[in-house]
Amino acid sequence: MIPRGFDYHDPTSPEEVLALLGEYGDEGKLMAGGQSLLPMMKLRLASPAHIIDLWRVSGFDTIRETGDEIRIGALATHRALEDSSLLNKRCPLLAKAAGTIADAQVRNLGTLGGAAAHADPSANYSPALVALGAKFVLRSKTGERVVAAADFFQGLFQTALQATELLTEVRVPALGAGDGWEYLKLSRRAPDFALVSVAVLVRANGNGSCAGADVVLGSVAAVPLRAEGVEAALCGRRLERLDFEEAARATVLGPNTPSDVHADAAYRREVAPVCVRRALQAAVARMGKGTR
Amino acid sequence: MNRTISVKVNGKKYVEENVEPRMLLVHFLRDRLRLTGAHVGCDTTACGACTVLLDGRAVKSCTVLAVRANGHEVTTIEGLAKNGKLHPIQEGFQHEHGLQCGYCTPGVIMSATELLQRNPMPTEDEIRAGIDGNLCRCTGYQNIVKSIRWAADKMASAHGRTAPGPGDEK
Repeated sequence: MIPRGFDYHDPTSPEEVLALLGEYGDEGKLMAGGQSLLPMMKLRLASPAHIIDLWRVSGFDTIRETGDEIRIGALATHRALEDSSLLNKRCPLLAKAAGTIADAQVRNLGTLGGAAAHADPSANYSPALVALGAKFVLRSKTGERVVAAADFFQGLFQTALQATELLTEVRVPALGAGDGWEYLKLSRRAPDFALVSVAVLVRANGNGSCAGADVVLGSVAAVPLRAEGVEAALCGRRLERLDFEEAARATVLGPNTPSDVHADAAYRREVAPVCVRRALQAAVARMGKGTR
Repeated sequence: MNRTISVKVNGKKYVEENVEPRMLLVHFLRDRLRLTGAHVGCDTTACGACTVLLDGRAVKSCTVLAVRANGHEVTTIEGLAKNGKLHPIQEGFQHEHGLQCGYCTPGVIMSATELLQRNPMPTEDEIRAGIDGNLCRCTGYQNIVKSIRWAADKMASAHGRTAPGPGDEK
């Protein structure tokens, strides 16, 4: 399978990228790692007239700590996130989400920014980024704006990114040493897309009770789904006496839960609470033990 | 507009003119350079039969534009043997019967090459995770895992290391 022909542009700076985006508008498509876009082009599900390849743009793949934030260049590969000692120490939830994307070869090329901007509802990052309260830095010719994860993911393959904007950076908070976390992906085979995924963060009070929790599901709606009932069931409870089964039972999926050949909506409803329970158990088991 | 690209493949520099931007790296290697070791299997980024190393990283060459390789280095299965002597991973596949039809083999070996560079003494689980982007439809994975284990042991003993035994966890 061969993509339809296109004009190829390989700029080396973000300024050139923005100029090309301005010139071609909706006709132009950015290619980061190409691990989602190129398969779609081969299947002729996408046939952009202009490919603006970010392959030769440098300087947007660093992972660094600034204050209590980890700032990750949009062109950092999944492999770079998975292997980053900084991320594994300070925000291991995201490192684990990165390390369970597809397979080794795809992780070598696919990027955080590309995957986030593609906004496939079954992809790994979106629930993790919403749970973490990540911020997205979007650059245009007129300046930069910062968008919260919950506002960035807007629908099926839809984000807050405008046609003239470039996602340059994703910022996530460094986790506290005592925070509990887990990222869990349920799939038939390891490299497959998630049937259900769950990102969990649990914070403790000094007195051993739960100060707050973020529980966000992926693959069960067009955008990441916050399990508010589960979060409420955890808040204020004594951590050593948490009833995970009961808390997980508060997982409620929406009326538009997707059905596909791999899992119908009823199956997703059945397994989502199981995934939540397992993720909560793992997250709480990590609490107070530092990171992984 | 078609491009002229310069790529170092298995240590040899190639300058190829008139490369269409939509040409995939696997077709460039097979049809332009006549290096047919990288196979086209599923053609959908799943099976890994087309795996090559791009700047030392295992990638699926059916999902990379050839123009991206301009100015970069590619290693294919043809580049592993040195001076007529097989690479230890190739030897491992021979010793442990790591292939039957051989279609997936070049891709698996290239993935294993990167795996052992990153992690010279992997556990069995790490080997299995390291090749989860490669599908085999006949040998089964048992002998493939044994072959990679054999190679890791041989490369480790050459470097004076002790490899973990089967089932050992780190």
